[in-house]
Amino acid sequence: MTYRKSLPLSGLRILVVEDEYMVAQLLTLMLEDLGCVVIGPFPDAESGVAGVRNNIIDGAVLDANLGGGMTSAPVAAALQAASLPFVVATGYGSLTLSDEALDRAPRVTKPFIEAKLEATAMAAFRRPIPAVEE
Amino acid sequence: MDYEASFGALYSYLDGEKWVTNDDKRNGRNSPKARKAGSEVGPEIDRQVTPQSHGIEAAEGVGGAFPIVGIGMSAGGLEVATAFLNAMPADSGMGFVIVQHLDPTRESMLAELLGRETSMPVVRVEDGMRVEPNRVHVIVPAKTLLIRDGVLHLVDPDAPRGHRHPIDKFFSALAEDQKAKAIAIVLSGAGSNGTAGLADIKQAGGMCIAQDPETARFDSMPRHAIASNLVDMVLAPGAMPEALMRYARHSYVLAPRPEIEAEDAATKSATGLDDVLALLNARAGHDFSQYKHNTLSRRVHRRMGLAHLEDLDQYLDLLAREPDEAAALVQDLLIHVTAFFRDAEAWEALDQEVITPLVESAQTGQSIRVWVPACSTGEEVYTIAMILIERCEAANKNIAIKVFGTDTAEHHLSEARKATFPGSMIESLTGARIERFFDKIDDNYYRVKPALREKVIFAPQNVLKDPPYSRMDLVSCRNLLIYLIPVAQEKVLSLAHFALREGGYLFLGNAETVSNRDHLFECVSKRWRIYRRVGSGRSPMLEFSQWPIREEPARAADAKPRLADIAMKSLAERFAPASVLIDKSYRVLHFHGSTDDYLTQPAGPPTFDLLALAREGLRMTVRNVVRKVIDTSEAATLRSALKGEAKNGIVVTASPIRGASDANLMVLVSFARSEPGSNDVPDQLAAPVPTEVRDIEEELVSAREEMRNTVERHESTNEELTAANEEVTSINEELQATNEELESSKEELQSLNEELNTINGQLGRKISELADVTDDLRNLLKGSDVATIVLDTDLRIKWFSPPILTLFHLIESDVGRPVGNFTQKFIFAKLLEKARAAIEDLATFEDEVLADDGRCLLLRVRPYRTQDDRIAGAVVTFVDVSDLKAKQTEISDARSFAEAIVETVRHPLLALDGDLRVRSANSAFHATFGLGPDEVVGRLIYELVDGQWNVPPLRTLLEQLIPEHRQINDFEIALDVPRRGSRKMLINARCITDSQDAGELVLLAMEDITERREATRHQELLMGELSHRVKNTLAVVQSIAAQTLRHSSSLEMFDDAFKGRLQALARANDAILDGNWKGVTLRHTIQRSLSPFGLDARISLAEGPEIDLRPQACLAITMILHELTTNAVKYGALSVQSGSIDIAWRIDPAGRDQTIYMEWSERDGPVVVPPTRQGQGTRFIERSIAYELGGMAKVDFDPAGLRATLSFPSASSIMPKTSLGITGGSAPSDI
Repeated sequence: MTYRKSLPLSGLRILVVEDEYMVAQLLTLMLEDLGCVVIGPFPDAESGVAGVRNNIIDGAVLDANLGGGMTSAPVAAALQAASLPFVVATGYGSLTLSDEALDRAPRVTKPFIEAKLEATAMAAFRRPIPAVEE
Repeated sequence: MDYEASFGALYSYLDGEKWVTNDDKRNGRNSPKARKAGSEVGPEIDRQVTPQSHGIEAAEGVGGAFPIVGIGMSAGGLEVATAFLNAMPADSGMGFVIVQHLDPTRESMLAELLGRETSMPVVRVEDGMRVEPNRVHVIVPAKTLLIRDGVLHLVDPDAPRGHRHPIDKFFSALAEDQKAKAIAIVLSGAGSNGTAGLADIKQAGGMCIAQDPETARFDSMPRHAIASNLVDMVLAPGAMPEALMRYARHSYVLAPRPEIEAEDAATKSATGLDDVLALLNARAGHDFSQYKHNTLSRRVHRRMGLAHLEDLDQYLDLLAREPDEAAALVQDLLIHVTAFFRDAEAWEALDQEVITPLVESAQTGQSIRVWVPACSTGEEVYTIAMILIERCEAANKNIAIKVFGTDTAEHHLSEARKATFPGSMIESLTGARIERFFDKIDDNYYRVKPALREKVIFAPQNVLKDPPYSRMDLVSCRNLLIYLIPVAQEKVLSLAHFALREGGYLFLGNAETVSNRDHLFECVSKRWRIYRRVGSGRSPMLEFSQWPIREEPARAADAKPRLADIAMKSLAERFAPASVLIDKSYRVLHFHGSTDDYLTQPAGPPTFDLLALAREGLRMTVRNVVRKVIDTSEAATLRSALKGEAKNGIVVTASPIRGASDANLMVLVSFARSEPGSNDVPDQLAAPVPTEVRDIEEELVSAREEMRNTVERHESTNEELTAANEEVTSINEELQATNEELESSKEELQSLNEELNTINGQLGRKISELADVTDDLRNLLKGSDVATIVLDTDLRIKWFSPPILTLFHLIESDVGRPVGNFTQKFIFAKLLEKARAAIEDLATFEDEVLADDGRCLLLRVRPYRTQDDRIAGAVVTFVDVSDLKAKQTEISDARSFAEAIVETVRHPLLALDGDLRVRSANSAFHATFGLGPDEVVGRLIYELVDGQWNVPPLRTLLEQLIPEHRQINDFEIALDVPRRGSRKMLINARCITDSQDAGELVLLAMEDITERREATRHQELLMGELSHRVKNTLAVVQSIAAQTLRHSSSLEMFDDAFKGRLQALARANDAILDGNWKGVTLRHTIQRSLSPFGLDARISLAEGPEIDLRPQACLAITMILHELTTNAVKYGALSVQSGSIDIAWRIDPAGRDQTIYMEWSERDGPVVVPPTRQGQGTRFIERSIAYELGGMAKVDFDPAGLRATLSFPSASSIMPKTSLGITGGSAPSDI
């Protein structure tokens, strides 16, 4: 999507973990609209962790609850180990999440509001721009 | 002996120095007169501070941190002490120690009695107790109280009862310990205890107060104290506190200053100690300038303290104004010093010059007798005895030694008799002497050994008044003369002369001489004042009681003679014959004229005996004529002749001269030479007839013979008299010893009397207390309303309380009658039997009986025990327990009620006792924990349920529960309950203070809240899930909208597609809700998905296995079916009437890792043309099933009809059978 003039997150490689196909699609679309390159989406923690290991990424958006009692805590742990930022997408609103890393991470609540997603992602992912880039 | 009188007699010789008593005689070396005595006395000043001397420097000091008031009292002291303590402020800052004469065997109640009278704490002294300010310390019986470094010590008394002087002992110790801060008060009491101690207090610079004898019930003690002149103030008990407080606030006590002068240099006051001394010198004639100034200034300062003056100028004014104050100051400045071997050199001289020769010349069996007048407390007496014993032992002679010590001061004599001396005095002696003569009786005191003690006799005697002793070998009279006026000195010297045997020795003090009596004594050692008696006769001054009277004629003789007298005298000399005036015993009183012709002094000692003086030949005549005058009281004349002279040449005339009485008859004997032949007087031997001469001569011979016999008889009588005299002397000594014993007995009786008085006072108190107690008891009995009857051993009535009248027909006079005689108004037949059992077997009986008036009575029968534990009968009491019974029933009902409630409660309940042991548990408890009562009751709560209650927080709470009366509210605990697993319990506990003797009761309730907790948690979970699901669904809707929008070319198209998909989503949710979120069958999902299309007839569902889908799978499949159906309606089998669809599913293979195959087959529809590019729907189907279920979708565009095959693993889609859904566990939802 190039119609937007300024894409502050342009080119950031963001991994997405979301179990629900429809929501994963939506997140992918929205992130791509912000100029991100979406890695995934991955429907479960296992594939998410593999995604973190096997890709060069700048950050991740994780759905907290992956269904069937699974959460994206392992992915969060892998991201923390790699010192990568991540944002948690959840329908729980301000409710406490059982995993501490997930609970502390910046949150976007479902349904997504583009501006909110952008602001959260900006705050979480944007790194200082190296001099060689424009 | 009347001591007052003896003091009085002494005072009259003291030239106005009335402050000097015998006490001070031994102080002489420090007196100003001693100072004046010249260079020999000089070193004395320095010697005072040597360690041997009981010196003033050691005795004085500043003492402890606060004043300690020693209160000595005896009989009658209790009331006085009460009055005193009542008036004493509780914060005086002084410590009080009460010492009393007490019966050693009797428990004293003094501390208790006094404790009620003062706000200060009153304690009994314990050994090692420190004296605290603002506290009263009371002596305990049978102990002597001492104080050292402010700490009280109790020691066993050393003296036998009667000789004890606990007050003296304590005062002395107090003086030594507290110095200037020692205050001694002598209160009511008999005897003289305390007075000797006051001397030490005074010497140490402390203060002495005596109770005003007028206010004392027994005034002997204060009177003695006052008589000793040691007392600074005489006050009524009520006035003492104020005086004490003022004194204690004075700088002398608060901040003792060593030197007035040093301080004065710093202050403006120009007045110094010198002014005081000058004033004293002028006023009282005492020059203290050679005294040590710091001692003087301390004592002056003390007087200022007593006068409550801080300024020396003011004190000087007072001194100038008040002669009494000056006298008191002088007395204070004279310092009491006494010691053994004081002046060691003088004693050495005495030893060499006197004692050694005495012992050498004495024969074995002889005795050596020594007299020490004014011996004070006997140190000098013992010193002499010691030297004598040593010399006798050295000479190996058995010589009887008697040393008489006399003094007028009885208390000094009793001190001397006790023969007990403080270590400080003894320890200056050589070790050999201490070993030889003293026994150490405790740390502080030595007692003279009996061998020395029995050589010494003490007796009261006033040297100036009482008859002296006689036949003494040595009289030691040191430091007595310096206090006496010259006339009195001469008297004492004459007495000494009288008392000494011929050649006996006199030993005087350094400052004393025999002065004008040097004709009586010759000097042995001038330096050490040792003299020897000269002359064999006795000094004429042998009258002991009329001294002052004799003084008068002596003075008259010195008066200037008148002219008439001169004329008379010359006339008499010229014309009167030589005459002598004699008394009845021929003692010449006066010589007149020249008597040389008739009288001559015979060889030997000088004599005044006229018969001895008469020249030979005259003697008989003189005797005859004088006898005649005495017999007839008329003048008589006889002739006589001197030996070898002419006969009858001398006329002897005697004429009586009457004095005041016959007793004083004097005779004037005149001698004259007569002319021979003159016959005017009868001639004794005139004209003898020759025969008569012969007869007379014969008669003379026989008379001479007779005379010789008479002389011999006289001599033997004389010898007998001498022996008798010796006997009498020894009897006298024995009597003196007996007297001493009697004195001791008297003292003992006095102290016994005091004790009795004290005890009497205490008994009086006790009796009044007993009366109070009796009143209390009577009122108690009346108030308690307990019917009581006391029976003696014969079951006769001894006493009964008024309420008994409702149970027996009794009147007062029935006391003494058998109780069995009376009708009883209650139903109990065995009263007598039980009473007998109580008396004989000590059996106590208790039962409830019913009175005739309907009351319920508790009957008790008990043995009547006397104080000495004898059974003297039985006590029967009836207590009305009707109310009690009613209450009991009430309580019992209430209890049943409460128990019923407890049993009804479904929560487990425990009742615990104070030790947290189970007293009871309700049935709910037993049921819940499966424990029987026997497994629970009596056990500690911590032991129950495998010790699961034994957890620290609960333990803490439970243990605080009783002591702090706390509650436990909703304490949550997890317990493993048999058969029911882990349960959460809420514990509530209350502490109930039990009114009975059972102690504390803890009620502990448990509430099983496991289910409630679970439900709450579930609810919270549900809320979260609901939020999550709604939001997630919204996100899905958002996604549907976004994607539909993306693939819609028009708004209509979007509207159509979006609505359809939204409805599909809604249906999926319906299906999930139908399954209550616990799984939806695949068949139901399909039916629901297709229902809006209303095409039931055209869609056939093949039989398939029942599969419970997870909600997520249900949603995915619904959405896929929606896409397929929409497509079929638009383009496929359902777009034409003929078309239909078959849906079938199966699981393959059966068992694990199953895959579910689902097939969608369209037929009879329009010819299917495969799309040129993959449509949105197809892509959605393939991707979503892959993404969400890990499955696969294959869409086959068969021209005969579209066929779609879905396959997905059962693991991701089928609801696990074991799971109970949301309710079952903690797993969050699938969506």
